[in-house]
Amino acid sequence: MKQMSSQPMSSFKHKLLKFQGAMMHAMPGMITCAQFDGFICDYLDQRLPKNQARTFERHMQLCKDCRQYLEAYSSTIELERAVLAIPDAAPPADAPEELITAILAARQAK
Amino acid sequence: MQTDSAHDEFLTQLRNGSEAAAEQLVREHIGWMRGLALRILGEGDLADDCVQDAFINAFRHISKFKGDSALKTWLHRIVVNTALMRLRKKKRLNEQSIDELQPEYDAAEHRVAPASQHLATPTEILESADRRTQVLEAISQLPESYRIVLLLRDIEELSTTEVAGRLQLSEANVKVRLHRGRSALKTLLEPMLQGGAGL
Repeated sequence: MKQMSSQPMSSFKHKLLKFQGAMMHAMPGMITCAQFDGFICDYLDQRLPKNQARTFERHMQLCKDCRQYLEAYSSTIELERAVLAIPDAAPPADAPEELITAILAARQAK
Repeated sequence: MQTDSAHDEFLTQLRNGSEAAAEQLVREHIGWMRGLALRILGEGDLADDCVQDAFINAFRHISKFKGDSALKTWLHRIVVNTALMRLRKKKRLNEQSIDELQPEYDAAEHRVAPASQHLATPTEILESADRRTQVLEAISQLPESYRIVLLLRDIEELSTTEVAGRLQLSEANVKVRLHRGRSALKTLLEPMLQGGAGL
């Protein structure tokens, strides 16, 4: 996991963020964005126990960045599947005979 | 469609080096393999070379094929890996560091996110052949140990347990690689997903 933005942060902002983080940990069922990421795979596989799924979804309701992250993450999987899908059916074998011959000859030569 | 016993017999013949079985395998699968390789590489000659390499690889390793997936699934994995490696070479792309492509957090573990823009949908992205190629190029840049997990889980839809068994990894390790691989791919596709001009 990559931590810490490279941009410098004011002392006040740093303290505010730490306070907010502490509040999130102190409030029952609240998680940080980093923890949210740790749940993503199980959530998409519908393998999170109900209480954890509720916590995950509650964070999504509150955190626009994580909502968008999950949307982009899901789109990434969809794109992957679209470009690498296993073809449903083999089209007519119109491969050149020379290619078939070359493959079988190379197999013999190995 | 072959019965189970006919399929087992066919596999036995392949492993024994039967020429007739080898020819049958090639003729049965070359059509869709060429189509897929062409989809990935975009050039007919490159695609044919790729398919030839993929079959040679398959024949070389047929003894290791345990029959725990369909032959077509196994061949798909071989031809995809072969094609992606050729694509990376053709485009002179480098393998990316998986660590550098993970999401960023601040001190309070809040996400450091790019500025919000319109999120392009997969349908919008895939309308363009160039964008499809860019997605493939991004996948080709992932380290193989992560790419194989994406293939087995996301494309072949094996369970975490099955992938762990195939790759001799713990289930926890599979889940970590899956998530980091997907996160890395998302980062590589970020400009496209954000509705930008592309990679």
